[in-house]
Amino acid sequence: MKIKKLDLNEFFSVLETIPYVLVKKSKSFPDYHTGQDADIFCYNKREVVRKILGVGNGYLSDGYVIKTEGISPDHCQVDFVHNNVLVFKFDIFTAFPEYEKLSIKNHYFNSIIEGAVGVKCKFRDKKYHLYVPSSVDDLLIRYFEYLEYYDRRPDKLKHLDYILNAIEKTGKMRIGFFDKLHIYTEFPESNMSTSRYKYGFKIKNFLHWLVPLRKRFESLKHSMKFFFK
Amino acid sequence: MKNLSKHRYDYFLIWGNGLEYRENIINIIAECNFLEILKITNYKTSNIKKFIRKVYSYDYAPFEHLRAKTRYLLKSSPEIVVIFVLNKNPDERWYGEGLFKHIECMKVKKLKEKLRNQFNPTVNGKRTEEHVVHSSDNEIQTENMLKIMGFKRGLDTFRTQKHSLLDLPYYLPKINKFTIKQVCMSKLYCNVLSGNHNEYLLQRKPVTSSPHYLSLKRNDMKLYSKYINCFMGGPLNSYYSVKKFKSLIRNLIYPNEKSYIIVEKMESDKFLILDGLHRASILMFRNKVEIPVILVEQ
Repeated sequence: MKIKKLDLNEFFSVLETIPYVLVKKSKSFPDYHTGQDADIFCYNKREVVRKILGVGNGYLSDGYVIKTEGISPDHCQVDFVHNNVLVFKFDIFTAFPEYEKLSIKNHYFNSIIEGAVGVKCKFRDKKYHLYVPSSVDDLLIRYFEYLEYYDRRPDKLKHLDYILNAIEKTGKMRIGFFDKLHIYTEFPESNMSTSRYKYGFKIKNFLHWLVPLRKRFESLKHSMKFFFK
Repeated sequence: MKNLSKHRYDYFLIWGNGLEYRENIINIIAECNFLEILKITNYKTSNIKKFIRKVYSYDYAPFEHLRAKTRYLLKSSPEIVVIFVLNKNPDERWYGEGLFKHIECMKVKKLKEKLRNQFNPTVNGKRTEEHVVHSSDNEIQTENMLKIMGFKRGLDTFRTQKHSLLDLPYYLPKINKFTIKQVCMSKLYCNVLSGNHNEYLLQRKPVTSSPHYLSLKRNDMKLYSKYINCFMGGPLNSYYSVKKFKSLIRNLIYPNEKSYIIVEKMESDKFLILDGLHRASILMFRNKVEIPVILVEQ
């Protein structure tokens, strides 16, 4: 049975009135392949979820099931599933995902939404704006993903090629990229301050003192034994 | 003066001497646009004197000042009704003088006075000070009242859905994971009460057997009215009225991304309605075969 395609233009046309950005927009938008996802950065995930569900209601009679899950206070997912197969996923964020390898300043998230660029699109002959991050922000978001996952997910290498291609094209882009990178990112806190390290250090320190103490106690025991003999 | 907070929780208490006007008082409160009735609780106390002390323990005036004012209550019935409300647009202002100066919502105060003017006993055509209604001045008093009524979580009783993705009634547990799917109307079941206010039985029945649907089918709201009057304040602690039901019948648009019927799975592909029996009855009456619902994952 042929599955009715979701019209992504319909979903994003209703989001036009609220602040959001569609991150890492695929070149084939509004077309998609089964299992693809769309990352949305926004301020109010309830509002975005409601709008998506409002459009999604229209697909229920075509056999779709909508699965919604709050992953964390800043992240939720809305999945469109057909015959137990994930067709499309909306990943909605109200803050940057937790990265292990780099630390991004919180206000950069807001800066991305505020600096959104409207791309003209059409839904049923009606024009609307699809909001995406500015080109520099788009490159930075891809760079963050590359840094975080390049050793675990080879598919993320595509981001580096994309960034290098874009940076090489104009000098202005290169300056903007490095400027924002330095303003909004910092090195993650050193391992030295993690609790695991702290407790490890304390145990090691304790053992360091325990060994000579034990030796002294043994010699004392020995001398007392000798004395009372 | 500007509002100090966006919204707050208040309560109205109907004393034993006002119980005969219970329905009228609840309907007047329900008609106020700035209030939303969240919970109606009947309460019977074995020691009215102790209860009065507890109620006034968070008042601004020392109880000694209130002793004379509350003496009439000792003679009234030990039964009371408490109506907890969400005050959506409080008008908070300083009230009183000196030691007794405090913040009160003027709208709640005005409503309380209106109820007292209408229902307090009269002598020679003049209103007495034997109040039938008491109300909260602030949220601390509401928290105290919830705890007296046995809701140990206080105001958190109403705040369960604060971070939820949808607007859900407070009495449902926090729902973080759910599925929206089409289900056949004939597979929807509901809990129906039978018996009386104090001794009742909860039975699972198809929506077609609920008093809500039967009232619509027979075009007779008496059945529904009798049902809610029998159980409201007891096992049914949300606010229901024939007027509210009729308004829903006229205006229901479903599905609506803001409010879905919420169900959980029963045995063999049947679903139990946790919230939305009124809506389901109306949709059933409109001959809908399938409707989208939120299926809560266990």
